[in-house]
Amino acid sequence: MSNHEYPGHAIPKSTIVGSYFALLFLAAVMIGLSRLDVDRFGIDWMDLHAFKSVLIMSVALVMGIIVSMFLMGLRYESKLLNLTIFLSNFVFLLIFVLFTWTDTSFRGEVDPSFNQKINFTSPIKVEEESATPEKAPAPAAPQAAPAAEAAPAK
Amino acid sequence: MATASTGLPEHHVAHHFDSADQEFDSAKTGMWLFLASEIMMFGALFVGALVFLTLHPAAFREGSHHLDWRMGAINTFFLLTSGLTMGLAVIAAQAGQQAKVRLNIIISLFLASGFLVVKSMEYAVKIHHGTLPGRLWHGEGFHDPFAHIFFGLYFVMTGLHALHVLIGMSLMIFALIRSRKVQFTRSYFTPVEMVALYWALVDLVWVFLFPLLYLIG
Repeated sequence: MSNHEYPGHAIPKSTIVGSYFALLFLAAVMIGLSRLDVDRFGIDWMDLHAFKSVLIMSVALVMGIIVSMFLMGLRYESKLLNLTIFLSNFVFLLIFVLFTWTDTSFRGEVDPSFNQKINFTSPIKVEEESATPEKAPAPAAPQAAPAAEAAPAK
Repeated sequence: MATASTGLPEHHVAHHFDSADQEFDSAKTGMWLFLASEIMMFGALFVGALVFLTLHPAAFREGSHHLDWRMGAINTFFLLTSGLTMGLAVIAAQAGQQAKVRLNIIISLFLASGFLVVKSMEYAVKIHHGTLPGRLWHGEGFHDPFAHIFFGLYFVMTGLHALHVLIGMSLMIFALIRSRKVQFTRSYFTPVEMVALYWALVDLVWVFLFPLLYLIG
């Protein structure tokens, strides 16, 4: 009984069950990481919150790889066409993500007027406290503030 | 084969295919193309979320703190377990065990409806707090003027995902009906395999959606 007589590939039950428990474990790791209070460590030479986020998304990436490799059976895919579809899809997604992200995250470094939020009206009424959420001193503030007040009149 | 025991007719390879192998492969290639387009569609939303997270991390954090990670964790368990039962359904279909195929699909259906119940409970809380997207927003007590964008992303992303869960459930029901009409064998298990592939995509999207919305920030 060579495998060529039959379509597809029989994925062993142990693989499916094993990857299920691996996924459950990784999900628990992910939740555990997110509950971790990083301020307790008292490390100030690096942004532990950002590091934690990167770590959590990396665990998600590993989970994604397990799902696509074993549950979707990519590991057993032998057809070049299907692999090409998947890999080119991944490459295009990467181009999409990286180019958009690098574009938008460094806007305004050369010309700060790029940061202005033109006609941005927030439905949120910021009344409490100092109302300076990190980025408020940027040129966006003078534009956004009057617009926000004008919004309820409409 | 097990045909005699179930009394169901065996599947015949359509006349424009050479073999069962070829028939299965063309179905699978079509499915991969479709899944690729699905990944690109969700990819656009993930890019939107990533850009928003980079530009307004404080707003993202504020929005994220309004979500209950316990609800997300229960849903993650539901989806991962239904992914397992769909995988087991494919194995049972390959072995020609009709009853096991049905049992596994029915368990998956229950888990999927559990997911939707938890999701609707979450939505009810959000609607109550007025953190709806766009013009419908009437949430109060927020500090960041960009916090509403998080909920716009939240509703669109989880809403589109929930729609996929619904479609996946309809496909499971289709596979159940199919299992009453034709005998699944090692040469013919295409419907179960394709539904399981679709369901794995639903899993795949959730695996990224859950940490992004609930755990980061």
